[in-house]
Amino acid sequence: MNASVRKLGALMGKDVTDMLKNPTMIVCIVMPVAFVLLYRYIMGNVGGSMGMMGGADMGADADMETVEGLITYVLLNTALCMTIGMTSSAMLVYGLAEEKEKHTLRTLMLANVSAEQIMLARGLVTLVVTAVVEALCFFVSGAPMHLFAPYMAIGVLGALPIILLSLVLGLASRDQMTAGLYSVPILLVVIAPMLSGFSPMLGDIARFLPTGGAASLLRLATEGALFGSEAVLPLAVTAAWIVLGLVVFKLLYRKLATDN
Amino acid sequence: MAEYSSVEALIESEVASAGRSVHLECSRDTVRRARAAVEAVQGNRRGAYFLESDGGFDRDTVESYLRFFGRISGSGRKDVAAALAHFGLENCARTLVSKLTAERKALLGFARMSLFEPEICFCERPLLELGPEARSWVLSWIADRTDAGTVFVTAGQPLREALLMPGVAFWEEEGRIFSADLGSDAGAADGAGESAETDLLGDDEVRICKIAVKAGEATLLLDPREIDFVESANRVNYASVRGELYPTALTMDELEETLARYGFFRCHRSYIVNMQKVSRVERYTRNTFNLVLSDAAHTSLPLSKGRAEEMRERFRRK
Repeated sequence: MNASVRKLGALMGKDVTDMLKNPTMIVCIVMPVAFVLLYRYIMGNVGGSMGMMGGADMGADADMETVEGLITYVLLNTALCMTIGMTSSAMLVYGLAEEKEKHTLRTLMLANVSAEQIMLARGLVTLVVTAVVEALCFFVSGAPMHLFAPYMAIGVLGALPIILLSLVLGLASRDQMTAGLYSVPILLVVIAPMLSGFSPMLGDIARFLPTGGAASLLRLATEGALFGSEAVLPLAVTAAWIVLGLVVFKLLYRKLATDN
Repeated sequence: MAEYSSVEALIESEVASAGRSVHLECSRDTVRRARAAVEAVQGNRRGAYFLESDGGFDRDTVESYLRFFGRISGSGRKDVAAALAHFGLENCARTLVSKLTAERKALLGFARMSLFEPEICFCERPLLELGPEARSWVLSWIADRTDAGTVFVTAGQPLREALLMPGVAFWEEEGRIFSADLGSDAGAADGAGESAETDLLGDDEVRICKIAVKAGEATLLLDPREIDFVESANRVNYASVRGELYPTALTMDELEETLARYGFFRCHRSYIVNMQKVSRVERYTRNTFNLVLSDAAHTSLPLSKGRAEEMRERFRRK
């Protein structure tokens, strides 16, 4: 037990330092924060002009509030989707693919380290990094502080299925070239809720995708209705994806890890 | 003479049952199968593996790489420092792993394995990239670990290298594995001493001695002084001249007799060495001696235990 905790610590330490030394990873991690800043700037302008237009009407204050709520939702949703998508694909799909391509994974597994420990360390580090980047995005977005706790909870929950699926895809990649291919579906699925504003049909599909549940929950949170009955379905969707991710991971990781 | 129908059978009986180290000259495919077989018999013993395609850790330095594996193996900073020192990596401790020469990368692999104090150790072509100095660091580590009870399986190297390590050397022919050592020393060693003594000095006829070897279609006549050593591999005998091996039709016994008066010595059943080219005798364990030559590659040749005594006597007198 002691030995496996020590090994897990060593592996996590390695994953963190390796990430910090890798410029590609850093770019992937900084990107969501930059995007949220950009969105905030664009949305701020839109919100401002909308506010001015509605200024003469009755009930303008209520409208302003809705618009602001909507902007907050769009910003935070962008933050979550981008962060989960970028960190998972960079750290897991690309990261594991590199380890496979260069046989690092094999070296580790032949050095009396189990596949479970390697995967657990990777998954935990990715989850922590995702949470940190999500927090950074939140502060950059300028959203009201009372949303922070629900936002973080939703962010971590929404990241779980993607992390599990990315671990599998990373292990399935033979090299970094295949990782490029495999990270595309992950990214598309993850950012689908971001794009659901563009078409109602896409919105209906996105609701049932892995991060769709999280996006719906986030919307409820910004509307102050997180603890209502409406939250049940998105929560169930997220839980279902987590379970599915666990099952797929459990079935495949051992074979994929040893398969060179 | 020990003989096995497959590499799996060899590992099963020599390594798993008898706990003997084995060193194989074999094809790449057999190397792969040997590794799988070692993994299969490892059980819960601490293992260490040195593979040619080991890589990655590009963003690590030598030191951070070893520290990481030190944490995995549970060894402290002192062990890491000792490994750096033993394998001559101290002055590149801060070099990136990706910038290391092939030799140093190999040494780093051995330093990593040393941290685990393995009980069973598999190496692919362990001496391939190593120069004479690095070779002695690695061989002495292998010898120390062997004394501590580690079982080594090395594969893919030429028989000459296989014979340098403690344990039994094997070679492969058409999927079958043959022992290169057994029954050789005791028998063959006695005959060798006598023939060398019957020197025909005081004869004033000009003596011409040339060794005929094949180079493609041509036959070369080599001056014995050009030859660094003679090697017998897969039933063909080769004369090594400046790093090239030339096959010769002469038998090892004929060669030994002819070359004896030019200062050649049968240091192993499969090797005749030009003593003039030997620069160093190395000893790692009680039973393993190596001769290091002064040729371009600083070739190491095995010196059988039985013949070591004979060599000492013969060349002390002169």
